[in-house]
Amino acid sequence: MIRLSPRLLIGTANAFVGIHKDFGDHMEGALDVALVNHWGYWSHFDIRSEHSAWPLGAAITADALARLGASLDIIREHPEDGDIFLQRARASHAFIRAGVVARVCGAGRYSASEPYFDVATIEGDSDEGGMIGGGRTVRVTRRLSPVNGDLFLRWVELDGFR
Amino acid sequence: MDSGDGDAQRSVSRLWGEMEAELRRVAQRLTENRDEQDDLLQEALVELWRTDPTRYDLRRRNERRFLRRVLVNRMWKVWKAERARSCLES
Repeated sequence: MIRLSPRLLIGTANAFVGIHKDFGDHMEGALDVALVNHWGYWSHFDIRSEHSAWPLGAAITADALARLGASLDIIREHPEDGDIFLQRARASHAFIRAGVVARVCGAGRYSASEPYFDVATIEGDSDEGGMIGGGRTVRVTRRLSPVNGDLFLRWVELDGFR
Repeated sequence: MDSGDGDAQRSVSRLWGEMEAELRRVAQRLTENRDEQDDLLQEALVELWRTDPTRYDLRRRNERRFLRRVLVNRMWKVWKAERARSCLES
């Protein structure tokens, strides 16, 4: 069994950067979440046992990922490299996007109790401006904050869970 | 293959290019003074940056409308505050 490793996920996601994939309407769920699960599944696939150690395969939307993360107690408010980030939408208050934190570039505060994090992400179905629906896998620098409802899934802590 | 590197800040300038003309018309309805119109537009641009357009799914018409309303509300608020201040000073 392959041990859970952020490096494996980041490396696999990196291999997709620049690739455009249009599934049209022939897909159930969100493309960005499907890609996160694809990267996770195949980066942790053990060819000898024909089994993947990836623990988050069941979720097909960012909201479902958040619920799964809550049930597994892996939701964190401060990011680390390799976490899955969930970005909260302003209008609907649902989670609009999921992707991989490739690197935490910096941190700051809007106020004493309001931290933010500048992160380099790898995300599917995006564009060079980080807008959802772009259809490409890109590396994007963006600012995320628990103040805005953003969350991070520390899936690597599930090592040995299953 | 291109690099696939980006920055969420780019969405601000791209979206501003799409919305500026419409927001200028809003500013023109609020005031005839060109400098004040520019100030209101500046406020809308700062609000767009602050609100982070990547938090909207702009393929959806209702989300696009929501974002427009956020920016127009900001312009309206600033204009009202400015009116009140001018009134007090005069």
